[in-house]
Amino acid sequence: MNRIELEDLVIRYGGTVAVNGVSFEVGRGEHVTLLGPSGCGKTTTLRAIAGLEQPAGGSIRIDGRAMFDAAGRKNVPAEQRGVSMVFQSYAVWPHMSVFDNVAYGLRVRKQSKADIAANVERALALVQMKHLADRSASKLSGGQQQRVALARAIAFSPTVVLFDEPLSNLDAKLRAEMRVELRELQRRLDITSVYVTHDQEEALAISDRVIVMNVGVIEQIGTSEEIYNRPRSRFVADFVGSANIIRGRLTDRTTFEAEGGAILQVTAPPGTHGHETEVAVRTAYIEIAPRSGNNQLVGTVRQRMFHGDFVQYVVECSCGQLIVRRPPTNLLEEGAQVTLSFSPEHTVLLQS
Amino acid sequence: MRTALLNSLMLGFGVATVGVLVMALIVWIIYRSQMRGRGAVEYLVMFPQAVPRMVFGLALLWAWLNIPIPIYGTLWLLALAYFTVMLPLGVRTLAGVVLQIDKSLEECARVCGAGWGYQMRTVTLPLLKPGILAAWLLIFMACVRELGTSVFLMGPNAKVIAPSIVSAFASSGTELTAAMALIQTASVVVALVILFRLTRGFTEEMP
Repeated sequence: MNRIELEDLVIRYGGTVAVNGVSFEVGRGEHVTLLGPSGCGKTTTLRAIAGLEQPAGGSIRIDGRAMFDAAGRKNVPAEQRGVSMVFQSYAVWPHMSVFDNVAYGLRVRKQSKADIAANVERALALVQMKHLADRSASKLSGGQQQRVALARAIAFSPTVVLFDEPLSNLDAKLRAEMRVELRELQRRLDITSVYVTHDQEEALAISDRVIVMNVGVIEQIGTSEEIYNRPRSRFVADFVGSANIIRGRLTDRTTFEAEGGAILQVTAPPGTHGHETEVAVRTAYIEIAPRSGNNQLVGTVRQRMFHGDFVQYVVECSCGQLIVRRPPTNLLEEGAQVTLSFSPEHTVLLQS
Repeated sequence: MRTALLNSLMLGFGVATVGVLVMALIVWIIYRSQMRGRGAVEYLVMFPQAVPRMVFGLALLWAWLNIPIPIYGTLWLLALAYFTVMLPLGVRTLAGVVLQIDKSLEECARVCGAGWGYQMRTVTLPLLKPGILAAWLLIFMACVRELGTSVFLMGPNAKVIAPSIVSAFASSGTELTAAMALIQTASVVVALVILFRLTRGFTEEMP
């Protein structure tokens, strides 16, 4: 059974349309991420699920119950939807202690004192903040506030938790740690979550399914691997991971003549129709060798950029400049003549 | 003279206390609610600032002489007049604080399951406390020294201090005037010191 169902959701801000006909489902216990650049409507969609934005059309159902229905003129207020949310700014109340912050949702639900104490302790223990229960929330670091916000969101045992870019204000190292912890917590608590981020790495790492959005519409829905290996459009190929886009034309179903004359074997995912003019090749899938594979291109290394975990080369080929990322072993010099090779499986035809 | 001073202090206290709560509600409606016509409310509350106090006092005088509710010549009319002329001051002071409160602090309370009243009581008002206190002090002081509207609206049974000082200057000379002015200033200072002492506790715990 689906926990959350969105159908044809439309949200307007004055004259502009922020979300334009978005539909998706989130299964029980599933972790779905809305990914897209700022202004793509991902946060607005999430806030509509929480009841903080009023849509202009469509419907939102949670656990089979209509929370918003434009046709039925139904709009359940945020406080009655029973979902929980972690805000981008953490929204930890500075005038309360850590304990009072986490206890808020329990007090609203009129739980007994003993239950509140037990539930707060359990939630704080999950985020390793038990020792700071009595501290004033205004005296916490960013990472600690993040943990308090998380504890508060799970304390009243909600079935659905919404995350609005919860890690975007943390430094890179802490973000990587929290990502691991969040994934662990999601598994352990049997919650259904919808997560919003503009960080593609984060989206791929922590989701069961990723929904890529752009200018108010959904570009592609799929698992992390599907999104990465079979991007449907130029936007997805560009935005998620890094990819080279090669222009040209198909000569038959799986043979592609790139601009400049090179012939490439390509994969045509379902939905392509034979008139596409672009293929995408992930920078990580290109082998680069001083000379030899299937799709081979001869070129010259124009630029080498050392990133630490990988080295990025810009290689001039007959079909234009290609970006290649390799492990930092066996460095190639700028100006070196090289052969690039990549398999047809990784040469993906893009819908036009 | 003593009654005038006491009346002024009482009016200042009452108008500041009731006024600040009403103004906080107005500010919240203007900047946070989705209510229709909230833009018009914003203009309306700023309007008293555009009208000279004397003109405003005169207008109220004529209006209430004709309205068959007998509050002319009582402290009630003065309270009403003070509240109206203090609206821009109070609303501007509180608006600054409301706009500084991160909206998600309130939204989070709603998502946690709190209704509007519970959210106001547990999140919005406590966060507004420093602003409410500042507005209270400003309105209190402005009420105690209010002259423009008071001149026309005070009656023999509802004297307030500032116009009394003016009439003392006209009738009794500089010594009495100076003494009254000094007492007025001193009593405001004393009231403020007491208030700061009382409230230091909770202003200091705010970040």
